[in-house]
Amino acid sequence: MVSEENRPHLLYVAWAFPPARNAGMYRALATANAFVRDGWKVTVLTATEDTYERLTGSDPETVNSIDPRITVIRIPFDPERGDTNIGSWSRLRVFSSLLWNASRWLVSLAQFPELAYGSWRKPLEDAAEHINASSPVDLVIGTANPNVDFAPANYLNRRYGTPFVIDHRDAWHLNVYSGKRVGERWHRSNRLERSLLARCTEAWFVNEPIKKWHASEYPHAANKFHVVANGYDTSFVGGSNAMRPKNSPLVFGYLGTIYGPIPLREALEGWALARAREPQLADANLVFRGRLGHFAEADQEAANLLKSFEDQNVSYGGPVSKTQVSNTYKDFDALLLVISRSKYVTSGKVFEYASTGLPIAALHDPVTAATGILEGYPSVHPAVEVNAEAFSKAIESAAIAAANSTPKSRGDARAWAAHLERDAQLSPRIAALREVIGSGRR
Amino acid sequence: MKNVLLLIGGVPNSSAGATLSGETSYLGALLHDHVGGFELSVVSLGFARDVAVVSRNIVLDRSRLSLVDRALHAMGARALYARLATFPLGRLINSIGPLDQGRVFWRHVRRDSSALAALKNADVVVAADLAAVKTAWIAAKRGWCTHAEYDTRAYGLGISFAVKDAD
Repeated sequence: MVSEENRPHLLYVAWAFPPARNAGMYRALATANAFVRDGWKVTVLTATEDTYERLTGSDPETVNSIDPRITVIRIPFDPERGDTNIGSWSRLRVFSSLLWNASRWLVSLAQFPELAYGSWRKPLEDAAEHINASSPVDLVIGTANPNVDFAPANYLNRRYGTPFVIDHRDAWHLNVYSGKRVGERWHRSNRLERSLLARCTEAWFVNEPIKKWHASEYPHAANKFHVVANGYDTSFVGGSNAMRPKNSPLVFGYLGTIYGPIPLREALEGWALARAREPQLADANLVFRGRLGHFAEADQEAANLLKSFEDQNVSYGGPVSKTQVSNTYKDFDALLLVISRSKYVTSGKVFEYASTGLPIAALHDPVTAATGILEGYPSVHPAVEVNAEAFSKAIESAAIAAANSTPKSRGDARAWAAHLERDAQLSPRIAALREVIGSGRR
Repeated sequence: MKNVLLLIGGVPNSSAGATLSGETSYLGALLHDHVGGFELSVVSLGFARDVAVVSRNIVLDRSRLSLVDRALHAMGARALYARLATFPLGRLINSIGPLDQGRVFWRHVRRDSSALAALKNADVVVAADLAAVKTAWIAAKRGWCTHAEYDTRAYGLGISFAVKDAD
């Protein structure tokens, strides 16, 4: 048994932490919780709660999922941005909001090579210094983006030699959608990343293609690179669905952010085609749940598109708190996995979908990284290309599977998906880091 | 009874300024919390929706140009503005020039006596987009209203698309 004093102290830095509603928040929450369960003293350094209300929207119920043993230190993030009281706006901001923004971005860039977030570096470093002075930090993990989350790790490592881990949810210099490099190799941000990767204890990536890209770009550090896939959180999903009574209409579901790059129109047209052809789908419903777009304001284009398919039994049920995700899946008989094309994008929902054991119509380009995650899943029905016809065939196949599914077939699928559980991804890394920190202490 | 004035300075666009908007709409909260407790007026360059909660809808006449606007048009400034709007530095230059949407909207409001009266009589002014901010800011600084709020979600007035709560 490790005594309170001997517990290794992890400083975990994440801009997005509950009650943020960003997709990246779930990884941060799960990682912090996993470390504290493993017996670490965990301090999370994050933004104040109002930050998310102002900028990206929040999911207040998720705060209840933070392990109470975690110390959460919140520091303000750019309070001016998002201030809606016009009376307090400066003359410059009213004269030209672009000029005002540009001037702030220049100041921000001078502090850290990342637009819009750089000004957070100093407050983060001051907070890290304070935390380290009160209780020496044994390990820092920064999770990005934003990449300014790496600043405390950089600071404590340079000043005190504190080991650190770089956790990339996306990538700093790889556009995961286009596959192209972002910025020049000589650029300041690239030099900083190279230096961070050279000094870090480990660097984590969400899938093998992103890890490989980094290994080819930064071969000097490649032996420290690991894949820590997103996985699903058993605290939010994983319950079994009750079987729908025979002959009652099937309900297909989509749960996730509904936004520009996903082939939404093709999916809806494919649905309409499938309903016309497959008798199982004649009375079936398709329910979309999740945010319309990434920002607090709903994406009207996506909203209008969904509305235009209302006569095809398509409905939009609004966003879902993460705490309600499990219940939401219980309403569905089959799932549509609609994601954008990229060999670097896995998406978080693919793991959640697999955890349900339901038939999945995979409506995305086969090149997408999610294809590999579902390889071997007993009831995946992939489209061979991105168009309404191919999507329709996948949906028809999933409909037949849904109509014929049994508690056993769903149970088998859930059992297959057990290896995708988030803790299964994190545990080996936590054990390895404990070993590294332990040997350092000895 | 409070007078609330909603200013819409540009063309409604749900994505504009979305990163600055909060989870809830200030105007939406007012509508929800003070049913019948205030009068809502709208000043815009064309707010086409017929919304029950709006007691007065003032549409500014785009064709009634000020002397400044007529001179700018005659000099071909609009074409230059459109050209500059196609690249980032050009947009920055546009934002400090006389054809910036905020300045154009303020000049329109100033020339319309009913809009100006509504602005001066408002207790609360809500700017639904950046183009309306300058006018709202002037109202706040000149003491015409007690509060001016930037609320991009006010566009929808809660009617554009019914988003159910999670619960």
